[in-house]
Amino acid sequence: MKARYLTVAGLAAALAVAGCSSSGGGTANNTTSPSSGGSSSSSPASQQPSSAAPNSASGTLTVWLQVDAQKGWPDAVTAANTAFNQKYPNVKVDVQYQQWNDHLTKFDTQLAAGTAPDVIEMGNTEMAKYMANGAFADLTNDVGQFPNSDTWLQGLAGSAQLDGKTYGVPYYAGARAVIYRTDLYGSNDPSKAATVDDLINDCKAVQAASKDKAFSAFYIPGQYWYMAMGFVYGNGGAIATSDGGKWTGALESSQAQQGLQKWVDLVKACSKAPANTDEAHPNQYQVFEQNTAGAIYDAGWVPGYVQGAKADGGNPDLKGKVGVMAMPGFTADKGMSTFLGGSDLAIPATSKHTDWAEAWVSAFTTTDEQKAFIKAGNLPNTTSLLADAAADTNLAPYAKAAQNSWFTPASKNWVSVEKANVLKNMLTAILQGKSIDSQTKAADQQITQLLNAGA
Amino acid sequence: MTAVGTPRDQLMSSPPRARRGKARRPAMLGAVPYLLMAPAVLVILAVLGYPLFRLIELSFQQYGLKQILSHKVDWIGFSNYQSIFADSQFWEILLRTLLFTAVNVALTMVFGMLVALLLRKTSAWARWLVNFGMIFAWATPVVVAITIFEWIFDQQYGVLNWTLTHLFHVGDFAQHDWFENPVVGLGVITALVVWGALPFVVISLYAGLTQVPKELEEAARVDGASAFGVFRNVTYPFLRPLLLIVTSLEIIWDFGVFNQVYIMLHASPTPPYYLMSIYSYIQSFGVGKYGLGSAVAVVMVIILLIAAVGYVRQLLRIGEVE
Repeated sequence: MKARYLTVAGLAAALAVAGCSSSGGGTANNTTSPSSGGSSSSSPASQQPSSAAPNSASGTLTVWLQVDAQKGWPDAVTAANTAFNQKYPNVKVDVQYQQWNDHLTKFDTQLAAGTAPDVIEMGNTEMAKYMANGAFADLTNDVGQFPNSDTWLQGLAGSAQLDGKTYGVPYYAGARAVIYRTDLYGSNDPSKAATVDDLINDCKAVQAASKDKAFSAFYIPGQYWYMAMGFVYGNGGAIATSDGGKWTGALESSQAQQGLQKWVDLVKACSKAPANTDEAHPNQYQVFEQNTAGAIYDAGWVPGYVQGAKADGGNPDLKGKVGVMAMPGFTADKGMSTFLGGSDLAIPATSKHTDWAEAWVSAFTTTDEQKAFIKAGNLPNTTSLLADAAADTNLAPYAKAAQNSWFTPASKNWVSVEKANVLKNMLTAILQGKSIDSQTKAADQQITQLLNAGA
Repeated sequence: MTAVGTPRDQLMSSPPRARRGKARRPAMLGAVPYLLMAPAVLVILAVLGYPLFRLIELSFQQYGLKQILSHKVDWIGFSNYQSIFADSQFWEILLRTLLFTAVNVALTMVFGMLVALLLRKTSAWARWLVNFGMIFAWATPVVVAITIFEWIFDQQYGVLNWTLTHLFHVGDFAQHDWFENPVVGLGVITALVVWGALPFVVISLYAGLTQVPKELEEAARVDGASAFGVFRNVTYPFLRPLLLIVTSLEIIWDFGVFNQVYIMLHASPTPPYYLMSIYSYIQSFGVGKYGLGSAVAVVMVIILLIAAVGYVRQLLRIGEVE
């Protein structure tokens, strides 16, 4: 019990530190009563001058959410729409689900054509470039009307803030942890591993025991850069460092290279996954369900999902055979660094219905909705619910993992590095036999160039 | 394609015929052909002309998220072209694309020609069967075809690795990654592209072959010509215009191959797989430098225009014959 509270406290501290340096925007100076954090869907829109009364307003509100919501918490979306429609009975909510790999491409073209959605879910690493270019409505003065805005996780809220202004509402956060088969690992219990070297020994033993050539004791796709970079940060390295606004790729530093080497050791020892695919092609949890992976490194909703009913996409045979643990670090006293993932909800500046959009975002981020996200395996957007997350057996290791988290370089150009596949290409080349030294140097060159590019 | 007699003369020569010489036609009627053409021309201008114009325009601009949002453009002259021409990666990609195109077009045309010739020799039911299969392959949407190939060559569950290992016992191909070596990987993609292009080529060429007068070939054979000699001196001259058109089309299609690489490699092809189209896409939609990506695309258009010259000239010639 005590450990749990320590976890919560540690998590809260970690998430607060992980944020950008932003001062937290307008939460303090907003005088309109901040939402109590309760589950009521009291209309935020009524608190601001609205051109039309909610009852008579009619039209369509277009919302872009990522497929995660469609798969993981569709009921929460329906609940938000219902709550929104109580206030705006004549506004139709059109929720369109997008894929991660091309939603920004679509967003760019829709912006150019002037048909962008009214609400868009953005990955927290994707926000900076768009905020810097003025793509989103400034919500600074309305922050107080969003539920729990005074207790938002600063680590996540920071990704939606720039120069003291707020351009998005934190949606949910996520960490990654090791999900493993207790029946396959058996006496090589990885949860007893104090360091990543211990884990490698465990998975080597499991790999050796398997006769199936396609079996990976620890399935790690070669382009899984979120994981690989965790080893870089976990060993004291970084993707890039900033000096007075000028960025320099830092993967060729000895800490980063050693961290990468350890990741490569783990992959070579225990994974048969292709070197040129990422964690979504195929989805690694599906590989896990097929009995061809002894362990994967995946998000908080996965443990529950893979043990679920067949109709829901799970494999019921795995029920009771799945363990979850935080990835051990380089030394026994510190866990491996995990990427603090998550999403924000932003309102494009081109939206003609900012008031509707704000009302919908409020309805979608209430305490009740956040509880639904927790249930689906995510970390909540508010510190007030962290205890709930740590109390969930599947989620507790994630809360622990998040105590050591890393985030992508806070440059407005970061997303270019991501979308140009710089890190993915580097990892594939390394796993296919090129030297870590030459590949990190080549990647650094590209990273430096992309991060320092003009607007 | 109703040529009779010496085909080369009929098809290749272009005597200036005084077809429009009816001088006494009322002046008003002269506008009629243009009026009839106008709707088609307008549609083509709207659908093809405008995007092309925008593409060229973009290639002289710095165009990124900032410009999209502010609706202000920054003209930067030839800077985009200068930076791609100065980039050694661009030349590498251009060379790879040209090679890829050459190999794909050559394989498609050779196989297509051989199958078409084979179809003349086979019995009716075999021909029907092959045509049936061809139409099916042709009708397969490209994304579906790619997904099927993706599964055939899949490292973990691919049927090819299983077949090679367990059925033909040619070695241990379990977990063999067909895309580790980019040359092999592009070979797999070539197989897919050629497979997809064959039906069109075979059916077109077979149709062309039915127009070759049998008696001429027979006469050549009686005169002692070898099979290759018959093809070289009788069949080929008849087919030449058609071959030119089909080859030009194949060049245009294969030079712009995108889906087969992009989808096959799960939307994240590594640099050794970059073709011009992929490079243009990554620069535009990946990095957000739409101007630079457009400049690459314009270079592609110019190269294709050169390839299209043969095609257009041939089309015009056929028009003259009829």
